[in-house]
Order: sequence, then C-alpha cells, then structure tokens
Amino acid sequence: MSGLTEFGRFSEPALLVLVSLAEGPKHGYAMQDDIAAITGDRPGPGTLYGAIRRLEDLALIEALPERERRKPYQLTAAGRAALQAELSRMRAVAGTGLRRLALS
Amino acid sequence: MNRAVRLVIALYPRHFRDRYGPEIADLLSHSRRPLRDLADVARCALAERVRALTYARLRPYVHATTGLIAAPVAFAGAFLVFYTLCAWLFAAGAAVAGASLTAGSARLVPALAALPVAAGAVWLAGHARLPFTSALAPAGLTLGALPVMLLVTDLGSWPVTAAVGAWGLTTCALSTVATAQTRRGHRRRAVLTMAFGGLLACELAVAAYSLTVSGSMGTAVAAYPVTSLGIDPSLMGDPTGRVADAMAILPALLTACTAYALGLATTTRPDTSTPAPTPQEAT
Repeated sequence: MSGLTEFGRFSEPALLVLVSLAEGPKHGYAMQDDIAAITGDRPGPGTLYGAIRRLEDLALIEALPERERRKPYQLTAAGRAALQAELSRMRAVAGTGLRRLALS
Repeated sequence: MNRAVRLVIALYPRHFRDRYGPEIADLLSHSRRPLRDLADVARCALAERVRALTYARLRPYVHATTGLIAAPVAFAGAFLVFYTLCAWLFAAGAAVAGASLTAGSARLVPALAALPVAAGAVWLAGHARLPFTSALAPAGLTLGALPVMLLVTDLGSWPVTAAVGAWGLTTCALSTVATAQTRRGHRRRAVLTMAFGGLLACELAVAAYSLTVSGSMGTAVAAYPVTSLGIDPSLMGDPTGRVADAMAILPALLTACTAYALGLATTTRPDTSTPAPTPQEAT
C-alpha cells in the first residue's frame, strides 16, 4: 500500500478525497458537497485542504488549471492505484469482520 | 467575517497559505457553518505549524543563530591574531627606528588590529544569508560577545553584562530601523543610521563599563574614542592607562560586532519565507 497508511489521523479525509475524485476532477467546494453526500458529514476547509496538501505532496492527486476562479484537482495514476489498493484492503477487512460477526 | 477569515488563514505556514489560502478563504466565505469551519481551519493551521517544526526546517535557523553567537568569538580570535601581528611589527619597527617609535605609538596597535577585523566583519556580513530578519542579529551577537567578555575581564559580571546588554539593545533598535530602510530602498540612509548609531551604541556600552572602573563621567564619555583610536589616555584623565587596560578587548569586539550588524542590516536581503516542504518531508 503506498501512501494512505502513513496519514495517521488524516487517513480518513484523504481517503474520502480520493473517493470523491475517483468520479472525476472536482474543486474544494464540490469535494465538500460530495463527501457530505457520502458520509453525511461535511469536512471543514482546514481538514479538506490538509488532506489535499498531503495527497498532492505524495503525487496521488494533482491540481488542474483554474476554472471560474476555482482550482480543480484530479487523481493521478498513482492515486488511482493507491485508492484501488486501499479499498481492496478495506473490503477484505470488512468481509472478514462481517463473517466473524455472523458466526458469533 | 472577512477579518476572521484572514486571521485564521494567517495561522498557516506561509508556503501553505500561498498555495491554498485563496481556496480555503473561498470555502469559508461560502460556508454554511462559519464558526465550525473557522475553528476547523484554525485547528488544522496550528497542526500544520507543529508539523513544520521539523529539524530539516529549523536547520537554517539553527545554523544562522549558531553563526551569530560564534561570530564574536571569531572576531575576538581574529583581533588577538592581528594584535599579536601588529605588536611584532611594532617591535620590529622599534628595533630598526629606535627612539622615534615611542611607547605612545604602541597605543595605536589595538586600533590598527581592530581595523582589519571590522573590515572583515563587514565583508563576512555581505556573504551571510540569514533566514530571518537582520534586525534580530544583534541579539545573537550579544549572546556570543557576553561570555567572551566575561572570560577576558575580571571586573565582575554585572558591569560587563550591563555594557554588552546596552550595546545589544541599542544595536537591535538600530538594526530594526536600518533593515526597514534597506527594504524601502534607502540603503545609504540605512548605512548612515547604522554607522552613526553604531558608534553611539559602542560609546554607550564602553562608557557604562568604564564608569564602573573610573567612577568619572568625563573619563567614561571619552573612553571609547580614546581606547579605540589609540589616543593618549591622559587626555581623559587616566594617565596610567588603568581604564584602557580594564577595557581589554571590549572596544575592538563591539566595533567588529557593530560592523557585522551594519553589514547584515544593509547588504543582505532577509528572506523570511519558509521553504516549501518536499514530498519526502511531507510524509
């Protein structure tokens, strides 16, 4: 797994940003709306841009030229691969957990 | 609201602010829960600040501060080397010229030795790159000069601390003014401020120190020009040279430190920006 496991307490916002961008390029405001729709909780601007900064530094996402005075971001190939790996890992963990719960 | 947004964004390190500040401000200005979002931004800004406090980021500051504290030690060492050299030359000259080189001429030796050290200090300052404003440089120089002076004098710590502290405070104020003038493009004015103000700072410090030795205000006022220029000490009512001897290297050291502070405030361009982190540092 490259990247996300090193995020510590920022891993969830970073993961949600990646999931949001998996749909296509989005600027900050659109990401907030999308994440709010997914989780029911709108991330604050500080939390969101903290995650964006870390993901950009790791080259998992990249900024696109400004459109309508807002800067959109998109997943890079490395970001897509990292998200794929992380979601697969989570699916495996969730599957195992659910199976064990069903047994108990 | 706008002021609050600017305030919380100002909490971020500069590189972060430059990169994401406008986008965060945009989100805050359209926020549905402004108080919660302001608190979130403030918390994350402080977290970024803490994260920025790695040794890699602090290294330039540590190196610059160490350099400033070590500079007076280097100036003192250089002064002693030049002093020895000048004394040898004087002795050689006296051996050749005989009586024409009197003991009075020997008073010029410290003054002659201080000149290349002060010139070297200005040259050195022109090549220094401080990561913080040059106005803070005298504080570091004071920290370096104080132990040197405590080591070479035996008058007790308070007179030395008072003298060097007075020099530090005055030169800090002067450097602040000169740095601001340099930033506004008034370099000549900055040089004049530092040159005349620096002489005044040295005069103040040496006077404070010599007052504890002589107890005479007249002697104290004349002590800096007399000791630093090699003038006959009897002119300031000190025919035995007791005050000049008690000064030790104080006038030369403060002159070199003033020259260095002058050079820093007028020849370097302070870069106060924090370097952006590399991806490796970010992890």
